[in-house]
Amino acid sequence: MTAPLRCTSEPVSWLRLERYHLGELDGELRGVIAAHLAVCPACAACLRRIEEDDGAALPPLTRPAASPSPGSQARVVKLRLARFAPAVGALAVAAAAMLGIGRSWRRGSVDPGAPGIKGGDVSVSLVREDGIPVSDGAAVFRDGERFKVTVTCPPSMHAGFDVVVFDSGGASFPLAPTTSLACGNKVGLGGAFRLTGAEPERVCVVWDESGAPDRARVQRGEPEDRAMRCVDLRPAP
Amino acid sequence: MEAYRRYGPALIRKASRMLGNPEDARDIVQALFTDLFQDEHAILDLPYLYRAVTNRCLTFMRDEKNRARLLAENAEDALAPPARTLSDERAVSTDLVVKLVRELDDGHCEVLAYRFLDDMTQDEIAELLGLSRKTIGKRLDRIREAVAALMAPAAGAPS
Repeated sequence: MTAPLRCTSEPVSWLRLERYHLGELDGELRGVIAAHLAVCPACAACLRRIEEDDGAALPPLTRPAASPSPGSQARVVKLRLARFAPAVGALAVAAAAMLGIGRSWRRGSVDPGAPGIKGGDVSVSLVREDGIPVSDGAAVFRDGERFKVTVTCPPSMHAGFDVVVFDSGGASFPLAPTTSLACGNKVGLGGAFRLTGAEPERVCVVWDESGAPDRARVQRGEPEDRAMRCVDLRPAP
Repeated sequence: MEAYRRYGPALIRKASRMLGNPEDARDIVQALFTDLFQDEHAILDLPYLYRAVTNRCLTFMRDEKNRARLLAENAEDALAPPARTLSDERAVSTDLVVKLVRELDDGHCEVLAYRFLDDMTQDEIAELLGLSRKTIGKRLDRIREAVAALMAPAAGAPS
């Protein structure tokens, strides 16, 4: 095996090489990289690898079946943190706007029945103080009402879970995080919390298979693959 | 999907560097874009997608079955990317990354991938993650400690 070429100074990162190849870099940075590539055989070789590989066929991409209309299926809508990519302040404003009154935001729905464990899926239910789960179509709360959260997840899954509530004030964490939940059907997360006030709330459960979810990252809304399920609640009229 | 055609090859190359094989890389990128079909608000620029693929690869590495297979496949480092850097810093190959994902949290693992597999500078990582250079530096210090701890037993082992 031949020894790898060494860069003449600081290597151009693969991301920058890809963006250079795609013509996405601005003039100044593009010029700096072009100058470096002219004198660095190692980085020039990496760019050639990109160019040579670019013709490789992509795997086919199929559009998933359209989602059923709200209420036709008892399942919590999966939302990604990417939706909350802006800073928390902007997030709070956006969340308040979206939770407002029937905008185009995909509303979280709540499983009123017994969803069971389905193919690696995770679902979340909010349960009122009287033991009645929040049902789809009646996702409202009274000022000061208490809730518990139950999670249905595959028994083979081991993850840390946390509850986060988003509203116009930002993100808050009403319960202690669960570092390792014994998954199953409708497993309760420890503790209960109250929702107060008269504005919409989004209650989300986040989890991380490596342990308790990193709250700082959740607050920052960093886009990533971390899973999250949410339920939207409106104040009772 | 235009973004898939435009960025798919770059993302598969990126995932291949992390996982050491193009088959898993294609699966991960394909799954990412299938999910993005359902999110009409998704941001589809390359830096964002790069992060998404990075995190999916890390999640993939944490799975027990995948982990065992990746360690076996990359045991001899045959597919390790060439180290371009002039520095004396230890090269971190795929098998080492697979081991380190158990030792480090998400934030550190992401920095690990960008610095050692993607050859990003601290400034570039800081910009991509929206964090300070100082924070990235601290995370790199922790990563180097973890690498050293993992390599320490091997150093004393018979060759």
